[in-house]
Amino acid sequence: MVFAARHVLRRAVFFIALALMLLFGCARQVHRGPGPALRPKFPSVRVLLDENFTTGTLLLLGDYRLDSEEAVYILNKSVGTFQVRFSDGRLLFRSKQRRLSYRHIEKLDFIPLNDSSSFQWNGTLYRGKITFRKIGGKIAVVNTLLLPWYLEGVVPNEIPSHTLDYLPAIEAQAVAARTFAFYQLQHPAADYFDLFADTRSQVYRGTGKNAPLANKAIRETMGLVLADSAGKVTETQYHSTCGGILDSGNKYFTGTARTNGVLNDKNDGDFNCAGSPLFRWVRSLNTRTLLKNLVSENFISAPVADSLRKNGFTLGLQVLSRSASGRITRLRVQINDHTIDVANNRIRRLLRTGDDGALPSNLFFLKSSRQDSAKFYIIGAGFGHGRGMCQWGAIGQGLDGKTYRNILRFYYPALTLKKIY
Amino acid sequence: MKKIYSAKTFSYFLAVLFGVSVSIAQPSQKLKTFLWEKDFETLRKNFAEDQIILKDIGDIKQRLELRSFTEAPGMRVQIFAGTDRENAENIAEQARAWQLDSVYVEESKDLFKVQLGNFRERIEAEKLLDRLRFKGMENAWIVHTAIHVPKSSVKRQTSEPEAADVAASLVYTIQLFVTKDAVKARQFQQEASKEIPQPVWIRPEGNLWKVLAGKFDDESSARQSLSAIRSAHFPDAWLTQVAK
Repeated sequence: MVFAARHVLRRAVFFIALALMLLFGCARQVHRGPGPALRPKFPSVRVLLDENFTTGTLLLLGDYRLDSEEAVYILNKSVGTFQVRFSDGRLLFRSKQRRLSYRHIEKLDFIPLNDSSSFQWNGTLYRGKITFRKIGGKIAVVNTLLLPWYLEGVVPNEIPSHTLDYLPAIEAQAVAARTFAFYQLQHPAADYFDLFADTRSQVYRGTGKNAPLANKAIRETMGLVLADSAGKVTETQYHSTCGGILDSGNKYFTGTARTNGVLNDKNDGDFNCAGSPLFRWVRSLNTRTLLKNLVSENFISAPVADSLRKNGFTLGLQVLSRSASGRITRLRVQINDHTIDVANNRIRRLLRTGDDGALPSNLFFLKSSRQDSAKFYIIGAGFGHGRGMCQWGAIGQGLDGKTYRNILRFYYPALTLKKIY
Repeated sequence: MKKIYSAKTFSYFLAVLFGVSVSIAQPSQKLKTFLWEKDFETLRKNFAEDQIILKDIGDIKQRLELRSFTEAPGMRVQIFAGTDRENAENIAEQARAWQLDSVYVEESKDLFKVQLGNFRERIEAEKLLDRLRFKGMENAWIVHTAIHVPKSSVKRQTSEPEAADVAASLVYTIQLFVTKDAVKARQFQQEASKEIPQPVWIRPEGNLWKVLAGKFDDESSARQSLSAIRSAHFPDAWLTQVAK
């Protein structure tokens, strides 16, 4: 009896030990990389795609979840392209396979179920979430996506990104764009979005642009932003072409190569941005075009303009003030005895020529024509406001062998690089 | 007796020829120095007019005012003839917006004509006609008519370039690529020539080599080509102006 009990006990111990060995052996951890807690956490940004939407098209190219009061939908490409319309207070989605209609909705989110999901909005490819939100009787369309994806849609639209020699400049641009976006996250444009998709913030055209160099630049500078001496991320401005002279409005200049409070964008006597197509430019205008612009900018009425055209007029242009870098800040227009003062960006719109949009910059001067009293010339330099980094200056410095760190130090001497993720 | 020209005479001839060549080349060099090599602040201080007065004599006076001009037989390019005055005025306005000088709306026996230019030589009129036809104005044609000829043109003596000369010396082109490496510029030019119909050329500027496509007299035709070039694998192409 005792022998049998011992035998049973030994067998029990054996099987328990075996079971324990199997349990811990199979549960051995296989390290495939850092766990979720250690993967970098990318911030998300909300970009306004349309602030007053009425019609559009939406094609879901991955799995998306749509939560509404009546149901939760899982939607993908199989439902086809939605024709989306907002009218009479109703938001309507209609495709060959599905019809969804919402009258009293405040917010509608199409949430991606995995990272590879994307959608086409009006033919442009985006990643992340798309939200339709009612704001004051209108519908705003917002794209929410991870910051690296957002940068893929910004960098190649802000700087030429298809030439390997320009890589240092593209990397500098990636840092500047990341800094600007991160700053906006802390100072959002509105409570329902952080950034505009145009020059009011940064030009963002979705994530479908094939720009491998831009993506490389974003990866190489992953998580880097510019911060002040207190470690605070700042609003980094940048522009296309300074024309050789940066605007001293940038508070981050502490004075390198500075003459009379202005920073010359030069290297060994050569202009860094001389490679820009808008380094120098010449436009001509006549009285009639200027008159038309005065009407379209609501400075004078159309009947007044018609009378002036018929009977003739004297038109005077006078530069009232310039910034320290020479950019015109106030311009006076005198038509007969009527005076109009125009400031800053409105000057560029007012003096636009027939073919193009606004003048490239406020850095210009006037020349009358000796042969035609109704004609004058505008001789200018640069494209953009001239503050912060000059993108073509960055390209020029990159061609001279400078790295993105050198470039950023030149244009933002009071800032240092900081890693946020 | 056969005349033999001495080496001395020949040298004088060469010197004169050289002097003429230099004086012809001078405006281009002046333009380059004026625009691209100086600091903008220097340009502005030397050449800017921060106050200008323009005079528009109005439509009524433009038809009647001949005080600054005499009339002479010549040619103009006519782009419209019709009985609707407003239509004629609109077309004239469009022509002025193309930055064309000398646009006239002539009225004759209830017919309103829009005519451009004042040409003594047919070849000059034909140049404008070609430009207009390129813009799609297939019905433009040259007419013989009385043209305006300035009574006098007194040029102010100054060493600064006339702004009109500056503008006329520029041409629109499309910048495809810029580098500091001449070999890379040449390689890019060869590749680009295979992909776009416009002639692709290289322009050295200081220590830069710019690869450019096409030469256009006006901005609108340059912009049309720009869209096509951007679609054809050159998304970073951009419009620019260079000296001819």
